[in-house]
Parts: sequence; structure tokens; C-alpha cells
Amino acid sequence: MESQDTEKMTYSQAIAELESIVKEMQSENCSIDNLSKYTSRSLELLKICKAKLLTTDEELKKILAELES
Amino acid sequence: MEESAITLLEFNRRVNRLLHDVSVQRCWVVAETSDVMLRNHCYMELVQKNPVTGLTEAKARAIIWASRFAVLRNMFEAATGQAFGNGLKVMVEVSANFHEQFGYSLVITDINPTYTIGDMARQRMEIISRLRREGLIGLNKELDMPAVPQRIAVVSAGTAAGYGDFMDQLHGNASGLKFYTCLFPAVMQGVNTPASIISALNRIYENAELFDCVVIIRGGGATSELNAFDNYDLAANVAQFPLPVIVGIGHDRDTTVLDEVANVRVKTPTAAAEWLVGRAQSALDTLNAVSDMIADMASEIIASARQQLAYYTGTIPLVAENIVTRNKAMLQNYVSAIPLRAHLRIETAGKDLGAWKERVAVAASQCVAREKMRLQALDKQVELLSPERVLRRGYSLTVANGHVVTDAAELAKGDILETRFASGRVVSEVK
Repeated sequence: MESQDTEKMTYSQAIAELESIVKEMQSENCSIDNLSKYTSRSLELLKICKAKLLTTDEELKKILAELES
Repeated sequence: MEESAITLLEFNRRVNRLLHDVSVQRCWVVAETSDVMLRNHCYMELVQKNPVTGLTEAKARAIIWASRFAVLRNMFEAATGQAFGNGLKVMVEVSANFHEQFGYSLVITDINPTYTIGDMARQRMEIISRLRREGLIGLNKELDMPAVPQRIAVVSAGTAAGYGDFMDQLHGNASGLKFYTCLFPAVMQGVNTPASIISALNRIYENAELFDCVVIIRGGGATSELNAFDNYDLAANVAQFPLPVIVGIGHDRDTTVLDEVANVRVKTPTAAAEWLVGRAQSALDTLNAVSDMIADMASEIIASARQQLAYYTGTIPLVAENIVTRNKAMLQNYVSAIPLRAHLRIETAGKDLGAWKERVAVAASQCVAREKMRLQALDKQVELLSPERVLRRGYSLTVANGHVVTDAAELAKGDILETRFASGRVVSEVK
């Protein structure tokens, strides 16, 4: 599983990585050594996704406002 | 000749009287509307065009009296979902009329909307089958709607109530989900509708990378003017648009061609906003579910690790004890085995020793016997070579000056010789 630069991640990329982590954690060979890596990464991804849904992207808002005027 | 001449007015009255013949009164006629004009009464031209050439083959002015028009319009628009206007195929009940001053016209007293509905449906079917034939009809439907369409290009009349409803519903959602909208204004009624929407789509196309989807909405007002959305050019544009298109043009009629080609079709602008909010909400719900799931899985993994640990905590001392016990037993075995082994070893060694003793004795006596024989052989040889034995065979031994004489040259005159025989000796002198 490769971790991409979270800053530039799209929602669907973040979701895809999240899904692969869940799959990894569900598999038999998920060791406790990877657990904190997986959980912290998934929390990070969840945060990105939620932020995309719930926080305003001011830059985009501005671009669209200019386009509309 | 001249006395029989009548006034124009009188002539026109005669024409008018002739037109009251039953064959041209309250007669159902099919024609197409054009130049519809509402000036208290409703004025229009009824035309008949050649279906092949499109050229006008017949034409007549027509009028619906204001009082009648109010009734007929409501009935027509409710039935067809279509505003009464130009370019409609209509079946109308007409009576010929000739006004002395204004000339020939038809007075419309009734409309059969079923005919128009049938014609519109036929047109719609023609457009749809053309789109299907050209492989366009499913194109927009096949586009993947993003999991969370947040950036929305809105095609609407900016002042329309429907646009306001859409914006309120979208931006005022209870979960605080963020959406980004950009209005691309378009005329949403009348003959210019298709061209106006197409031009808005073209403007969106130039900035397509900024958007996840397009929403075409039209709402409020009467359910009329839907004819504009049964338009081939508009449908072909929407079908081939690279972004998924959501259509909410506010009508209860079955479907327009636009609905047929859109990626998502809803009834009203409000429903379009609800659809978008619902999609984002379900994404948010999924995130929360995944979040819970990860927490559950993590604690499950920890619990199972803890369980494993507990198992080892309980097991290791037992295992250690087993090992100690086993080793102790092994040691005990050695303790008891060593003397026995040692004894065995000594016994064996003793046996070996006996054997060796015997072999040494044999070897020694063999050696002694061998040496005895050798001595005997030597003894014999010595005896054979002894001077007594030689003397006995007749030889004699001459000794002079204490030495055995072996060369006569050694002797000189007067030397005293002693000659020894096997038995006895004589002394003589050299002469």
C-alpha cells in the first residue's frame, strides 16, 4: 500500500486507500506491529475525507465566484 | 347592369351569409399554429405545411375569443403540459367567418389536446430513436457520477424561484456538507431555450475541470413550455457532455427527451438538491461507519493479542517446569547408568587384558623357540668350523712365536715351530 502525499489527495484516492487499509486489517495476517501505523494512517485519511465534505475550500469558492461574475 | 350593382358591404354580407353553411361551421380541423398573439382575444395563423417540402399549402387567420381562450388554455396546458403557442399541431373546432371589415377568419371554439399530445409524443419518439440510432442516448448515463459531487455547474434562469429553492436546499443542508455552485444563466422557457442552454453548456465545457457535474433546473410557474426540452440539438449536447448531467425541470409529465439522456433525472430543482445532499450524506455516513469499523477492528486485534499474551503468561512457567523436570530425570538416568556402564567397561577391559596376556605369552614363547633354533643352527656351524674338527680331519696347525703361521715367508732359519695335531703336538726347528 503506498501512501500518497495527503495534501494533494483527491477524495476518491483517500477512500481507495482507506478501503485497502480496512481490507488489510481484516486479513488474518494483520500483526499488532502494523496496527498503530494502520490506525493512524486511516484516521488521517478519514480526516482528509471529512474535511473535503465539511470544510469550505475558499480558493475554489473564489475561482467559481469569479467565473460566475 | 349598373342598377343591379350592390355595395361592397352588401356583397361581404352575402359572403358572410354563405359561410354560415353547416359544412364550414363547427368543423374539426387539424393544422399548425403560428404567429400566436394574445391581445385580449387570442389571434393566430393556422397553417398547413407540406410534410416533405415544408412549404405552406394552406393558411387562415383564426381567433379565440378571450372568454373562451381562458377555459381552453387551462384545459390544453393541463392536458399536454405544454403552453399554447407557436408551432403546435392542433385539432381545433372552427367556424368560418367573414367580417365585412376584416375579411375571412376562423373562430375557434374548442381544442382537442389529445391530438397535440399524440403529435408531441411522436416527435419525442422520433428524436429518441434518432439519438439511439446515432449511439448518443446512453452516453451521459454511462458517465460515472463522482462519489461526492460537490462542484456543481448550475444551468438555470438566475431569477427563477426554482434556482432559489435549489440553492437553499443545497447550501442549507443539515449536515453542513459543503457544495460549490456556479450559475451559468440560461433562458428556460420559449423557443430560445435549447440554444440558450446549449450556450451555457459550452461555457461550462471550457471550465469542465472545475466541476463534478452539471445541474439543469427549471422550476416554479406553470408546467408549460416543456416542448423546448424535447429538442434534438439540446438532447444531443447533453448526451455527449463530458460531465454527468442532472436534470430537474419541474414537471409531472412522463418524460421529456432531456430526461431520457440525462445521467440523473429528478422532478424538481429541490429534488436535484436533495439528490446531491443525499449522495454526500451517504459518503459521510460511510466515512463514519469506516471510522467505527477501524476502531472496532483495532480493539479486536489488541484483544486477540492480549489473549495470546495471557496464554503465554500461563503457559511459559509450565513449559519451563516441564523442561526442568525432564532434565532432572535425564540426570538421574545418568547417575544410575554411570556405575553400571563403568563396571561393564572394566569387565570388558579385563577380558581384553586376559586375551592380551595370552597373546603376549604365546608371542614370547614363540620368540624364545625361534631364538633357540637359531642358536642351535649357529652352534652347529661353529662346531663345523672349530679347529679341533679340522685337525681331526688330518690338517695340522703351525704356531711360531705365539702366532699361527699361514705363510712360510714369515719364518726364518732357526725359528722354533709348534705343530699341533688332533691329538698331541711336536716341536721342530727351521733349517
